[in-house]
This record gives sequence, structure tokens and C-alpha cells, in this order.
Amino acid sequence: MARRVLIVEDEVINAMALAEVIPGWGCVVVDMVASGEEAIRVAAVASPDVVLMDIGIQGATDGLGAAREIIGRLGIPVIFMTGFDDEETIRAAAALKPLALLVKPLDVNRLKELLAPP
Amino acid sequence: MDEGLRQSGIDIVGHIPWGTHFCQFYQTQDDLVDILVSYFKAGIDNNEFCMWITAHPLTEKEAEAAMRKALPDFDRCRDRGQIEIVPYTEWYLKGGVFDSRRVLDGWVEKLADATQRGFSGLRLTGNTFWLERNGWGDFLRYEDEVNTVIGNYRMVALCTYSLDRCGASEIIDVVNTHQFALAKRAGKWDLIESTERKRAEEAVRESERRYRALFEHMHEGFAYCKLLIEDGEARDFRFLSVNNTFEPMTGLKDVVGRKVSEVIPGIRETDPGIFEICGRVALTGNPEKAEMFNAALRRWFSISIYFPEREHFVVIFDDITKRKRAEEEVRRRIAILDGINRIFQEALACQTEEELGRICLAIAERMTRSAFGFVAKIGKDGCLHDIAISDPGWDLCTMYDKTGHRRPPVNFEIHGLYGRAILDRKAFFTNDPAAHPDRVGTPEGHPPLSAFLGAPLIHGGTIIGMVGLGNREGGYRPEELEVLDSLAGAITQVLVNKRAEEALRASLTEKDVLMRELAHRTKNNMQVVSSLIGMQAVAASDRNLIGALTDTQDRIRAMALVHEKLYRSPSLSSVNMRDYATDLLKALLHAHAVVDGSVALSLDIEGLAFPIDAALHCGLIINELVSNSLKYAFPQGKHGTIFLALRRVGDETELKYRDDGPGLPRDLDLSRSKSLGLKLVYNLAVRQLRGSMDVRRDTATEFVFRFRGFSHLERG
Repeated sequence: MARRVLIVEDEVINAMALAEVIPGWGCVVVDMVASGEEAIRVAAVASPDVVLMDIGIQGATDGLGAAREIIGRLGIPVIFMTGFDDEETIRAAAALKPLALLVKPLDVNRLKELLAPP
Repeated sequence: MDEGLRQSGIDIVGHIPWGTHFCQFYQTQDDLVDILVSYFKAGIDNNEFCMWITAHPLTEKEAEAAMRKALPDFDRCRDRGQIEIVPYTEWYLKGGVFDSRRVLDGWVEKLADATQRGFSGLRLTGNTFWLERNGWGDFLRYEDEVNTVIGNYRMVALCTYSLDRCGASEIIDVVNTHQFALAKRAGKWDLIESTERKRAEEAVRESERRYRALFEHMHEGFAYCKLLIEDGEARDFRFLSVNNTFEPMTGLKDVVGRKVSEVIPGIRETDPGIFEICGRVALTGNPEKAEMFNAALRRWFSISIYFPEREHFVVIFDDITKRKRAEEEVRRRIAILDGINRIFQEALACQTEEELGRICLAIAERMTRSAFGFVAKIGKDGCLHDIAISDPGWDLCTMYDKTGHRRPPVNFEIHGLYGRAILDRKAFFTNDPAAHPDRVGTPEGHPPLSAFLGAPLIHGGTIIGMVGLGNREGGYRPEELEVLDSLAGAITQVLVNKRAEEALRASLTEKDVLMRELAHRTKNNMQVVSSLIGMQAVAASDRNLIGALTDTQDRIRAMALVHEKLYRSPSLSSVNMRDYATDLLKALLHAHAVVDGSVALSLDIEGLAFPIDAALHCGLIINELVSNSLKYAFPQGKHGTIFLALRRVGDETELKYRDDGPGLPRDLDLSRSKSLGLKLVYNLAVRQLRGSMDVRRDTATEFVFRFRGFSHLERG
């Protein structure tokens, strides 16, 4: 079964790049959204297998806030992507027990492994 | 008021109070001598000044002889001026006519003179033998006036009337105008009083007692005075009567009968205002109220003045020194707060520490009435460096360097008078700088220093500088010390704030420089990337690859151009879209070798400021649309026009784009387009910029984008 992926990224070109490459790994991109609020709403409706979540996104709820809901309430695993690898961000992200935390620019091979079918 | 009784010297009369006015009817010279000699002997024994106005049947020589007989010491008394015996022609009829006002004033002046010479009052007698029948009415009016005047003075008066010259009606008149009369009956002196007069007098006395009690016991001071006029101007006044409060309130003793100029020597020079107001009231008759500072007594009084009769005035006054001092204190504190407020207000407008120092100094100088001063800070070298020196101080200063130029007094060691304020960490003043132990002398050419006031500027326990002021006229007082001490706090605060502000401004300038540098480097790096891709395209042979690489090069150029605009932008956070879009279009035409003007540009772009992200995404949309036009609408030198409009429509920003080429296929769904360029346009416009995208297909294809604000694009 192809894994269904939700991309949460507020830089559209980065989201488009992921959406171009991910289907080639046998996954389906269910949607790409740019804010924390949209991420929670779409995750609840589309029930993806995994959420690719940028931490520093626009809107009132950032990537950490959205992931707290998605992991905690919806039980959907999250892979964090961040351009800010400062200690505070990494500690806050790790506390949410994500599937992984990837620092931008993304290691495409590492992402491919993480999204590989079980 | 003296209520003491005087010995009359006449057995049947006994003691009489000051102000007693009585008469004697006589028939012979012996009658006169009998009463008057005893009367004056008692006066002389009691330190009174005596005046005997003689007339027939007794000459002054006979009167003198009678006195000498009764008083062996008479001649000595006369020589030392205790008794004057003068004929009626030199008193009542001086100048040939009887003038009651002159005579009454004459008595008062004699009394004043006597008081000044140390006598306790005036005892007088006058004979009326000279009086003609036709002058009788005038004389009775004079006697009536004597009654009103004499009651206010330390005088007793005995008038003698010849029975031979009085008929029954005259006798009644005389009895009625005197408190009592003496007449001889059966060889013995008897005392006659008019019952009506007695009653009236008793009523007057009762009324006077009441009013006197009122004046004696009121809290205000009271004085009844006679104005002394010279050359039509009020030059002095004499106290005729004062109440009990007068002495404790003024501190002045035994003033009755004395001139104010004797009681307070020099008052005419120190307090001319008192004479002005008293003169005005006494001459015009209009009562006045005023609050006056009495420089001689160093007290403030509220005074009410009215005139009871011509050239006389009554003043009722209260000591308001405490209230005035409290008001003065409030005024002083308001002035200090006003000064502090002005310092803080001026601090907002001042650009530099020097400008601020000059303004603070000007305020401190004005509030302390100093001639000059300085504001200085303590430098890292531990010396004082001037921030401001006042112009008057600077103008007075004639310190010159070797080249003859005025030398600024900078970098002073902390010592001397000014150093004292810093070393003691508190404000101080001296009005004798030359004798001050800390004096180190002034530098050559320094203005002569007659008084010095200095205060340290202390911030967080550290002394950061000081304010020094000099040469207040009359010297400094604790009031000026308090003013400067209060201002010093505000001056410290604004100087520290100004320094922090200057440091912040310097830091922001540095940050601005760094940001521009960063934008510049980003643009350069992108150009390097673009060049690398360009080289790759030249080396490639696959047309598709060359196309893809060229497209990418265009996109990177569009992004690099934003950073170029950014480091040239005054704000560093926004980009002018007219400049950016115009340059972007020109760069694209140039890159695609459209140089011969085959593609015309029709631009209608408002000078809108876009935030960096919005500018970049909008630039990429324009880049894709223009690239698309150049590739498909105007291939290989085909002529045409590109229309681009960017403007505000209501609270939205509208971007319109079209070319006059053949247009896109009618069935093309842009949201599902496989073309990367069109996908980018759609995603950037709709997903990234959260705008709307409308494609109007007529003969040509027109793209219409609408964006609502860009604040939501800011990163969280």
C-alpha cells in the first residue's frame, strides 16, 4: 500500500519540489498546505500515514503546535523539517517524539528511507 | 493705650485721665493764679510738657513770677523747655486771625515734640479774654473740635473764661463744650457738670470702651496715624494710637506719639510703597487693601487702610508671612518641576549630547540667575570634559592658546571648587570663592568668580559629571542649591538616555550596514549560481536541457534582482515594485536577446512597496509569464507588446498581465498544468501569496491576480 503523505511547508517552491519527487518513491502526496491550522484540519480529514512538517511556518499555530495536535490527538506520525537547528528548537521538537527531525537543506535519501513502505 | 491718671493739682478735681478738657470761670487775677499755678506745678512734677497761653488780666511776666513763687526750680524748668508761657497774640492770634485748624495742629505738634524730648504728655491752658463777641461762635466750634482731638492724645486742657465777659447763655455754652467747669462759690471752688453732657459723655465713654475692647482684643494689628505731608507728598506718619496686637505682631515698642521714621529708621528708603498707599488713602479718602512685604521688618502683611478724617488713616493689618512663605515655597517647587519638565521635553527634540547639555545649562542658569556655567562629564581619563559652556561664560572667557586662538577649557583635573562637588558627592555653593579652602585659582583669562554653585551628576551611584554655575548677583542661597540639586537628577537622566540613544543609533547603523552587505552578498552568490547554470547550458547539447537550464537561470536572476533592489532600498525590509518589475522585464528581454525593440513593453506600475517575500514571489510570477510570452507568443523576433499593470484597487493589489500574441489554448486548466512555469504561477499566486487568479481568454489571454495585503506572509 502506497504511503499517503501530507506536506506542510509555507515556501511553495519547496513544497512543489517535494511533491514532484515523493510520488517517484511510491508514495502519494494527499495535499500540500502552508499553515499549522490548515495542517491540523487536512490531517483530520485526509488521515495521511505521515505528515512532513516544517517547523517555522506562517499562521498562529507553528509546526510544533500543529504536530502536538496531529501526533497527540490524531496519532499520525510526523517528520519535522527545519531550517533552524538551534538547541531550543531541536529540544522542543524531540519532546514531541517525531518520527525524525531533518535539517534543511533536506537529505533526500534519508527522507526516501523514512518514507519507504514498511 | 495709656489709661493712667494724671494728678490735676486742683484739690476738687483730683486725678484726671489723658484727654480731659475742662474750664475755669474766674473773676480776678488771683482766681487764675490760684488754679493755674497748682495745675502746672502738678504737670511739671509729673514730667509733662506745659503750655500756658496768657491774656488779660495776667501777663506772661506775672504768670512767670507766680510760677517762680510756687516753684523755686521754675527757671531751670523753663530753660530746659518743660514749660512755655506765651501771650495769646503769639498762639491764638498768630498771623492776626484765629485759625482753629492751625491752633489744633499746633497742640498736636507741641505734643509730638514733647514726646520726642521725653515728656509723657502735654498740659495746656488758654485764656479767652481776648475773644470778641462776634468770634464766639467760631471759638465754640474750636472747643468742640478740641473735644474730639484731645481724647486721642496724651493731653489735658484747661480753658479759662472771665465771668465778666460771659452772660448766662455763654456760661451754658462753655459748660456744654467742656467736661466740667470750675467756678468760685462763697469763696470756695466748686465743680459744675452739665447733666446732659455727663450722660452723653458716659454714653460716649461706654461706646468707646466697647470699641476699644474690640480693637484691643482683635487678632489683627491696629494703628491710627496722622500723615505728615511735605511739599504735597506723604513723607512720614505719626502713630496716634495702636492696639495690644500691634507690638507682638510688628516687634515695635512704644510707638504712640512717634514718627514711623523714628521707630524704623530708613523705612522711607526700604519701604516707599507704604508711604504711597497711606498717602493715597489719606488724601483721596478711598479705602484700600493690599498685601505688602515690609522689607524693614522682613515680614508680609495684609493691610486694610481707611481714613477717618483728613490726613489721618487707620490701618488694620495681619501678619501673613507664613502663608506668603508657603506660597513662595509652592511657587518655587512648581518652578523646579517646570524646569525638570522642560529638560525632559527638550531632551526629546535634541539630537546630540552637546545640544542637550547646552539646553540643560541654559535652564539651570536661568533658574538660578547665574551669569555663566558649564555641564561636564567625567571621561575615561578621570578628567572633566565639557559638554556645554554657556555663551556668556564663553564670551567672558579670554583664555587663548599660543596661536592666539580661543582655547576651550577642556580636560580639567578633578580638584578645586568644582572638584569639591564631585569629591563630596553633593551640591554646594560658596559666595566667597577667593577664601574657599579648595580654591586652586582660575585659569588665565577665566571670568572673575564672585560666587560658585556646583552639583554632581550621579547615575546608579556613579558620578558621571557635574554642573557648575557662577556669579549670581547677590550670591547663591540654599534655594538655588535646592534648585540645582533637583535639576541635576533630571539632567543626569536625560544625558544618560541620550548616550544610550546614541549608542543604539550607532548599533542600528552598524546593523543596517551588515544587512545591506548580506543582501549584496546574497545577490552576488545567486549571480554566481546563475553563471554556473549558464555555463552548463552553453556546454549542453540537449535542447530540452538547455531550455530547462535557461529557465532556471531566469528564475535565479529574478530572485537575485530582489536582493539587489533590497540593498539599494532605504528601508531594507521592502522593495519598490515599479523599479523591480521594470528592471526585471528589461533583464528578461535582454537575456532572451530581444534587443531590436521587436517586443514593446506597456507598463502601468504604481510605486508600491512590497515586503521582500511578496516581492520575490511576485517577481517569479512575472518572470514565468514574460518567459512564456517570449517563448510562445513572440518566438524568433516576432513583434508584439507585453502589457503589465500593478496597482492598488481598494484594499487589494491587482496584477494584470497579457500579451498581444495568440493566447493560451481555451481548454487549458492551469491548476492541473504540466508546465512547471504555469504550475509555479498558480502555486505562487494561490498557495503562496493566497491571492486569486483569473485567466480571461478573449483574443489574447489576460492573467488577473488579486492579493489582499501581505502581512500574513510574515514568518512566524
